[in-house]
Amino acid sequence: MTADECGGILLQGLLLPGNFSITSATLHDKEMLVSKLTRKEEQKILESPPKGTFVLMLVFAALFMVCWLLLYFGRYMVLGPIN
Amino acid sequence: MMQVAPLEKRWIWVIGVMVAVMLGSILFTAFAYHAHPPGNVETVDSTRLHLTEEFREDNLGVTTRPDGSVLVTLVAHRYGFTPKHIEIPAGKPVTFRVATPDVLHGLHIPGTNINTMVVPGYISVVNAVINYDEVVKHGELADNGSVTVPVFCNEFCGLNHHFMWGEMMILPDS
Repeated sequence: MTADECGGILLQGLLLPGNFSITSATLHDKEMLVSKLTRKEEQKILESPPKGTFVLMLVFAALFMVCWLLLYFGRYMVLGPIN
Repeated sequence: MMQVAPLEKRWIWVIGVMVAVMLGSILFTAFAYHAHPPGNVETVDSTRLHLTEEFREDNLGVTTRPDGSVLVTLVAHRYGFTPKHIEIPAGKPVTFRVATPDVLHGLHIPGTNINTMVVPGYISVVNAVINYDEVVKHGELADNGSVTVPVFCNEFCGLNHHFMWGEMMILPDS
């Protein structure tokens, strides 16, 4: 089976010193080494909304609001209103 | 039409809620407690300040109005406040009216939100209510329960700016 038949990209020409050399490998082979997910599962993950990022942003927003409210009501207004 | 990613749309809503909470808090305290930046614009002839009725030396100091509120008339000058020592009750509305005959000064009282510039040619007016529980953290507590806090100039006004101070004694509510 050639690299094209696998649907991958042929990587070649990576020559190592001495008697070692890698003549060809496919991207598909490399992916299989690091991930056990199918292409369909990977595609689903890539197309799904970034929930972790949103949770991080919500945590930041909540912390920001708590700190702001503490400063405004706990440190500023408690000293007595002015006008 | 502009494309906005779903995550950005959600974040826009979050930011909108945050801004609404902050603006809501500011508006609530503005209407409920009249907390807003002093905006009084009142001019005075600085060169003849000592000749005006209000800022004549005899009339400076603390006056209690019929409604129980307190009026404090101060002159900030190089390098001190006149009068240097004032006594006011905590928990009551206090109005500071401050003017200067010379250069730019500041009025800052720790433990309160009183912090204003005193600009030549203008009368600075600050209305405040002193919270005894807060000033007691910043001042010296006496046996009778009164707290003395310093009054600082926080605008550089000359070589002896760092010697410019006064003191304010806060009397407890009861």
